[in-house]
Amino acid sequence: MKYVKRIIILAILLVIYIYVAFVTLFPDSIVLMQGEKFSVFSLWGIQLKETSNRSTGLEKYPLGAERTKVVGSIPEGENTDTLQANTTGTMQISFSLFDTIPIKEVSVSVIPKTKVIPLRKCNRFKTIYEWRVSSWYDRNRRKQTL
Amino acid sequence: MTEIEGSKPYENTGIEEGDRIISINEQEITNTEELIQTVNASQGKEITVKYVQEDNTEQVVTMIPTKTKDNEYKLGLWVRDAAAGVGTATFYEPESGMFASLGHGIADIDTGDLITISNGELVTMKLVSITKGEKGKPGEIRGSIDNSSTIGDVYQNTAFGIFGRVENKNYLNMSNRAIEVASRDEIEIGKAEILCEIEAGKPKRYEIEIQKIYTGNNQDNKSMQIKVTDEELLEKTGGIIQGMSGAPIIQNEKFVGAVTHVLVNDPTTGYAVFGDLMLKQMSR
Repeated sequence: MKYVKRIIILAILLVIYIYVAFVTLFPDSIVLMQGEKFSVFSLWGIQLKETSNRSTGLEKYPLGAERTKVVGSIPEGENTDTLQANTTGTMQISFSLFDTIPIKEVSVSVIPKTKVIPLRKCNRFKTIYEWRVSSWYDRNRRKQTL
Repeated sequence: MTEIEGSKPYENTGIEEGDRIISINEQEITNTEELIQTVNASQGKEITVKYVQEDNTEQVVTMIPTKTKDNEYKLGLWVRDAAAGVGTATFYEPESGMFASLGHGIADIDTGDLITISNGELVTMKLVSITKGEKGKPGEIRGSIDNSSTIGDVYQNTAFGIFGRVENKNYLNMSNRAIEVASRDEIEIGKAEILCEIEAGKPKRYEIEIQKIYTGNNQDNKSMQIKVTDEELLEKTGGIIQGMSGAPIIQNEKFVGAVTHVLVNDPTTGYAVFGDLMLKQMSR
C-alpha cells in the first residue's frame, strides 16, 4: 500500500512536470509566413484559441473584417492543433486548461509572403561588440588552446 | 592585454563578465581605445566607473588603476569590442531595403556565445585566393579589403544570420530578379543550386543535393543537410569552405535557404538554414 501511494504521488508529479514543461517551453511569440501552417502539439485538457487582436503596425493590411484568420482547428482524437495564417497581422492566442483556467498567452505575427533577391558575392563583415567585460577565465582558456 | 601581478583593481568592486562600461569619470566610453586612454590618463588616481549590468541596472564604482611594468595604468579587465570575418551575403529584400547574410551568427571566439553587437558594417571584398578543403581541414576563401566600400550597416546578430540595411545596393552586384521564399513544405529532397563566388567577379550557380530536411526544426540553423555535387565546385574548393556561409540555395526557382556549416570530416557535406527562418528573424 505504501508503494502504491508513492507511485501515485510520483505519477501526479510527473504529469505536473509534463504540463509545466509544455507551458514553459512553448515560445512567447511565433512568426508565421502568410499561408503557412503551424502545428502545435497539445496535451489533454489544454485548449488553444484566439483571444484578442493587437495593433499590428501593418497599416496597409488593416485588421478587422478581413483580418488574419487564425484557424485553431482541433481534430477529434488528435493532440495537434493547426494554425494557418491567411493574411498578415498580429494577434494573441492563448492556451487554457479545460477552457477556463488561462495558462499562457502567445503573440502570433504573420508576415507577408515576400520576394527576395538572392545575393552571391563574398563580403566582409565588421561588427562592433556592444562592449562588455569578458572573463579572465575565457581569456586564459584561449591562451591555453592557442 | 593587461598584465597585472597579484590582485586586479576591478576585483571586489562588483563588476562582472558581461557588464558594459559606459563612462569613466563621467566621460563616455564607447570602445577599447577610449577605455585604455582614459585609464592611462588617470595616472593611478581613483576613477569613477559607471557600468550597466546584464539586467540593465546601472552601477557606479570607484577603482584605482595599477601601474604595470610597461608604465601603463590598467584596471585588470579583459575587454574587447570588434570582430570581423568573411561571409556571403544571402538576400536583399527590395521592399524593406534590408539584407540578410551568413545564415548563422557571429560568436565570441572564447565562449562560443552569440555576441551582442552595437553596430557593424558590411563592406565589399576582393577575392584573393581559395584554399581547397580536405577531410579534417576545412578550406577557406581569402579576400582583400583594400579600396573596399561600405554596402550597408549591420543591426542584428542572431543564430539565423546577421541582418542590416543596405545603404548602397550597387555594391551588391545583384540581378534585378526577385524570387519567392519557399515554405518548408515546398522544399524537396534532391537537386538544388547554391549561388556563390569562387572566382573573382564571376559568381555563379553550382549544383548541390538536399539530402535531409528537418521540417520541424525552429531551434537552430541546421535545417537541411546538403551535399555539393557540382564537379567544378568540388575541383576548386573541395566542397563547402569557410566564407561560403550565407550562400543562397535555390530550388525550383525559389529561395530555400543558406549554407551554414561544413562537416569537417567530409567537406562536401554540410548544413543549411531554412530561408523562412531567416526572413522571420529579419522581421522581428
